[in-house]
Amino acid sequence: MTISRRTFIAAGIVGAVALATAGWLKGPHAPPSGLRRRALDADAEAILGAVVPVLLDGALPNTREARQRAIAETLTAIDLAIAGLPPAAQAELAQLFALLALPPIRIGLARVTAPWPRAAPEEVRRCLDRFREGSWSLQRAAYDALHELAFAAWYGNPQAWPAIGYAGPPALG
Amino acid sequence: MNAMAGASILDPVAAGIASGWDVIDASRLDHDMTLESDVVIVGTGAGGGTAAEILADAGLRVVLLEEGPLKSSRDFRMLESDAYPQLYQESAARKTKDRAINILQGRCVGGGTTVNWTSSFRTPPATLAYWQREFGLTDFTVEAMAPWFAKMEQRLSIAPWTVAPNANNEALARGARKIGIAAMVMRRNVKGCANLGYCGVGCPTNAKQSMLVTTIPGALAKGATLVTRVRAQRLMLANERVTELEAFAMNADGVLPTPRKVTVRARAFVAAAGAIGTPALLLRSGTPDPHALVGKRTFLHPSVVSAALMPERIDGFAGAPQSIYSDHFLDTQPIDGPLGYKLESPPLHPILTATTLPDDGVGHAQWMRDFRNMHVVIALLRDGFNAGSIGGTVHLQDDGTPVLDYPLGPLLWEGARRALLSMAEIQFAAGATHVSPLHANGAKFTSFAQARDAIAAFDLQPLVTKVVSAHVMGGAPLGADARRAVVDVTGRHHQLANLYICDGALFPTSIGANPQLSIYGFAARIATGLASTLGARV
Repeated sequence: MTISRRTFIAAGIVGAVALATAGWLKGPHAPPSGLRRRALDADAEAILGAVVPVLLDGALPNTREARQRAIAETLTAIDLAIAGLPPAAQAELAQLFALLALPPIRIGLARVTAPWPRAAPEEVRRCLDRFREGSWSLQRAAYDALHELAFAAWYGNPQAWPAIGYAGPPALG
Repeated sequence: MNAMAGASILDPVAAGIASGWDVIDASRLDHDMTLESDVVIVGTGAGGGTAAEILADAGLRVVLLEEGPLKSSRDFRMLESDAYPQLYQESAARKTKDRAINILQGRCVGGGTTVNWTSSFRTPPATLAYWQREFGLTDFTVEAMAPWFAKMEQRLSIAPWTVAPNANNEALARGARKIGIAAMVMRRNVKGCANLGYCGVGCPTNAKQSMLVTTIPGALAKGATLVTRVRAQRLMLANERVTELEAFAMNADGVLPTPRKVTVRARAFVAAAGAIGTPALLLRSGTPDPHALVGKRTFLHPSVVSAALMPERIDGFAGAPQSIYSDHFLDTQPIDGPLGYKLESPPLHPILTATTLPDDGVGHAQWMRDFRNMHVVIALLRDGFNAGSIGGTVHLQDDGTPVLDYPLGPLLWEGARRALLSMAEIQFAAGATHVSPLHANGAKFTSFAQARDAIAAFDLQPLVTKVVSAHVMGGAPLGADARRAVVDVTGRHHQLANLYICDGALFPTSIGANPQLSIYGFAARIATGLASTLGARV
C-alpha cells in the first residue's frame, strides 16, 4: 500500500510542530550504546540500529558476535560520515531521523509498531520497501539516504571485502 | 610496506614544502590575514591550476585560494573511506536539489584533477561549431583552440593509452565491436602510470599529471602563495571593479567556516571554483547580472548506468579506470536533436559500487558477491544543445552554500531509455549472463530481448532511475553578447573590469566529452590574455 502525498504532508506538518518543541524538551543525551557520537543522537542511533541490519541482510557476518560488531562498526562509520557532511546536509538528515522518531510518524507512516530499539525486522523490511517504491519523491529520497549511508559505511570497512572477493588496495613498489 | 613505498615515491608536494613554498593552512590561523597580490585565483582545479602557472610564469604575483585541504601522494592510501570525505565536495555525496543526481566533484588542492579518472579529450569539433553558430564564439574554432590544447597536452603528458585496457573497458570495446559501432582508445594525462586503477582516490604514485603535481608546484616554485582550507565568501565591488575578496578559514575538518577572515586585495580576480562554486561566489557577491544568467544553464552530462555480470573476472577496480569510449551515439545524430550520449566504463571500487547499485538486503548482497565479475557501462547524456535541454540552476541555501536544481524531464528520460537499451545490447554482445539497467530495484535480465522489452516499459523517474554525474559545466558562460554571456571572449566579466572566470562555468553548453582538457585549453587561453592585460611578460 502506498502512502498518499496528502498523508505525508499532514505527517510533515505534525512532525514540524512536534520538532519545534522536541529540542526544548529533550536536551542533550547520550546514545544508548554509550559511545561518544559526533552526529547521531539517541533517536538516530535507534533508527539506524533497526534499519542497518535489514539493509545489510545477507552481507553481514553470520555469527551473532561478529554480526553485532559489524553493525556497531557500521553505525560508528555512519556517525563519522554524517559529521563530515556540510551543515545543510547534516541538518536534513537530523530532520529525517527526528521525524521518523516521532511515534505518529513511526506508526502511521513507517508502520513500525514498536519503538525503534525494539522494531520487528519484518516491519522495518516492509517500511523500507514502501519508502523505496514510494509515490512521493521525499520517501524515495529518504530511502536513498539510508541506503547510501549504510552501504558506504559497510563496504568502506575492510571486513566487508572478503565476501566480495576484494583483496584491498594493491601493494606499491 | 607502506612506509617503504612511501620512501620510494617522490612526493613533489612534500619536497616543495620542504624547499620553502609559501603554503598557508588557513584552518591553523590564529589571526585575520590580509594578502596583496597581482592576481587572486579562487579554486585550484583544472581552471585555477592552469591559470596559476601561466600567470606566475609571466612574473605576476599570484595568490591561490582552495576550500579543501592540501593532500598529496604520501596521504593517498587507495582507500575510498579516506578519499571521499577528504578530497570530494560533500564527501562525494553531493546531490542535486531533489536528490536525484549524485555529483562527484573534487574539493582539495588540484580540485577535480586530483580525483578524476584521467580521461582527456579536446573539445569536440561539433561542440565548438555549435558554439560558433549559436553563441557567436567565432574566435573559438578548432584551429584557434588547437595551440592551447597542444600546449596543455604537452604540459600534462596527455597521450593515447598504449597499455591493454582493463577487462571492464575491454568488454565495452568487445561489445561495441560485436554490435558494429566504433569504440576508441582514450588519451590520458599520465606519466609512468603503474596501471593500478586508483585515480579516483588520489594517485599514490604521482603518475597522474593532475594540477597537484604539475602547474600548482610550477606556480609555487615561482613564488605564488597557496592558502588552503579557506572559503571565498564574496567579492567586494566598487566603481564597476572588484576591490577585494573576503574569505573565511574553514575549521580543520573542513565542515564549517570559522570567523577567521582572509582578505585578498589584487589587481585582478579569477573565479575558478567550478561550475557550482563560481556562480555561487558571484551570487553571494551580488555581481551585476542584468540578464539573470548567473547560475543558469548549468549542465551535468547526466549519466545512466548499466551493470552486468560477465562469465569471466572483470576486477573493475584494477587497471586504468577509463581507456575505451564510444561516441557512436553522439556522432550519428544531430547535436541539437534528441540527446546523444557518450559511452564509457567507470572504475568499480567497493563503496562506489555498493552505493550505486539499487536494492538492499539479500538482493544487494548477491550483486556484491559477484563484484569481481561485474561489468559496468555509463552513458553520459550530452545536455544543453537541444533547445529544450536548459540544464539546471545554482541557488544559494540559507547558509550561503550552493545547491544545484537540475530537473529531469521527458527529453532527458527519452535519451536515457535509448542509452539503457544500447548499454544492455553491448553488454549482452560482450557475453554478459545478466544485465541490470540501474532502475527501481534493479531487476536482472538474462537476454537482450528480455531487457529490451523491460526497458521499453520502464517508468523512468527521479530517484527511481539511477542518474549520476562527474562533470559540472556552465552557469557563467562566455560570449561576446552581454545579453547571453556573463564574461566576454577574453574571460572578463561583462560588467566588472577586473573579474575573470576561468573554469568549467565558462561553457555555454555541456562539452559532450569529459571536460578536463576543455577547461585546460580555455583556461590557458584566458590566463595568457590576462597576463598580457596586466602588462606582464608573456
